[in-house]
Amino acid sequence: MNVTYRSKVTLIRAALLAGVLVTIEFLARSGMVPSTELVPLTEMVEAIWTLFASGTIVPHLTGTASRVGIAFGAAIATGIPIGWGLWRNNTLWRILNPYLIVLYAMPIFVFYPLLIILLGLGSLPIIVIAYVMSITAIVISTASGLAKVPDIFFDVSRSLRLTTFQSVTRVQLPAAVPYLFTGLKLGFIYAFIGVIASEFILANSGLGYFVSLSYQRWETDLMYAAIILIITLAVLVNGVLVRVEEFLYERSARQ
Amino acid sequence: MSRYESAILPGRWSLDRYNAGRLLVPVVVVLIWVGLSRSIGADFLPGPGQTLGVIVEGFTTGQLLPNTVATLEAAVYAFAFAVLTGLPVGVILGLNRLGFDLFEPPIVSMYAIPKLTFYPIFLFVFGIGMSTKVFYAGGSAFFPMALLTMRAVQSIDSTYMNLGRSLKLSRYQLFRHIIFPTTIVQLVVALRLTFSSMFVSLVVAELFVSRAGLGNILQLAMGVYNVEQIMAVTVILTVVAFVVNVTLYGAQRLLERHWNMTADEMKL
Repeated sequence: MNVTYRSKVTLIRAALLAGVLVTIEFLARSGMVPSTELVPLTEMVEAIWTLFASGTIVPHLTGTASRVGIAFGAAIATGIPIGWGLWRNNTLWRILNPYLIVLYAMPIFVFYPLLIILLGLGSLPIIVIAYVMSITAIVISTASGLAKVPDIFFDVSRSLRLTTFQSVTRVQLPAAVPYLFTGLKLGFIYAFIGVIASEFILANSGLGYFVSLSYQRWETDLMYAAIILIITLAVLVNGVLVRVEEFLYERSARQ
Repeated sequence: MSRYESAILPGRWSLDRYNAGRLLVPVVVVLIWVGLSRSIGADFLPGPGQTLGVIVEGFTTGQLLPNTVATLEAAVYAFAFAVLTGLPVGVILGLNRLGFDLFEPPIVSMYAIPKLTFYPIFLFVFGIGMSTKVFYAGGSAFFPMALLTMRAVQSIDSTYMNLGRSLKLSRYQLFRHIIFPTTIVQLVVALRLTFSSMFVSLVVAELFVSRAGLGNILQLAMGVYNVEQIMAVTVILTVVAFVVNVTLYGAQRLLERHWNMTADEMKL
């Protein structure tokens, strides 16, 4: 990709985004859409500023962040060992492979109401849902990532007489890093989506809860402010993760 | 060949130890369910027999049947909407390099955004009802459909495309004889992930605000802590999603065997 082509792409994309933003501003300013349903962008930005200046949004932001952090952290800590164990046990892996592929596309979120009944309203059912959504992707990509590593890598670690621990940390995991990272990226996205959706449906704090509360109270400007915050967080984090992922795949392709 | 490939390479079905193990998995799941229900207490977690009773009763006399029909009807429309918009957009953007470079990154980011946050906007525009659910769930599922299609089309070996062009194939012939057969396996994966994205969006939308559907029943049951009803609806939703998923996965495996290729599951 040459520089002029790339700047052309960036330019057109910026123009399209600007077009969307101007349309929103116009629809709201002209009164074609009532102010209870859409507010001008300038007011959305103002509302974001107010939310931070007054500190209203801070407990929701930290609530969401800590739930995502706990769920994602637990999913990494358990998902990678489970994925590794599945890959080691060829029989179990072959038996479970179709189930994992199907599980990956199952609507795990529908268990949220049941979890609320079992665990009570609060952070716990939210973390559990986000954890299950997150770990599925991590387990699959760990196991299938390790299985994609060419057999020669393992022959070498055997002929070097590495211990199991050395073989795992020095050969197996580094060789599978790009695939592992794809799993971590998806795992993070699912943890985030799971937390926001749970908060949105039924919770007592968090960014998702704040959107749903503002909707019910007809506080449209605050609702859009929180939506913009969620979108910005998702796009920024995902952008970073995609860049790192591309870098890892390119690096492993060069080697 | 790595172990991954040997594990999933398609073959003829026979009752070897792997398939026997696969048949055992649902039995193990039901046994775990029974065990959990016994240890927690059936008042908090109804067991399989009790839940089946609630489902049968709900289908014959209660509210479950019309609401299941309402959800399935919305699911059919929303799935059709997602496929009929996502497939052509994906093919067009997959064939056009500028279009692909322009729209691929934003569609990938859409994947990371919890789309439920947009549902209130759909409620503003369409009000509460069937069309809202259909446009919201179909709209959410448009993105995986378009993304997976454009990636599949974009990765077609350029030799085939050049061959098609030098044979002066029409657009339809190009699609029918080159694009379709080379991407069919990935397209079936796309259909499966599109269905899954659509179905969860639909149920969650019903759970948030709706007047009918299984999500609506869940919401009402949640309000009065009717755990039997919640369990029944959760099981119905899981079974519907599982049946569609397994059917499409089976279709994928048959096609993989037919065309002797394997699809990458984690393309998103």
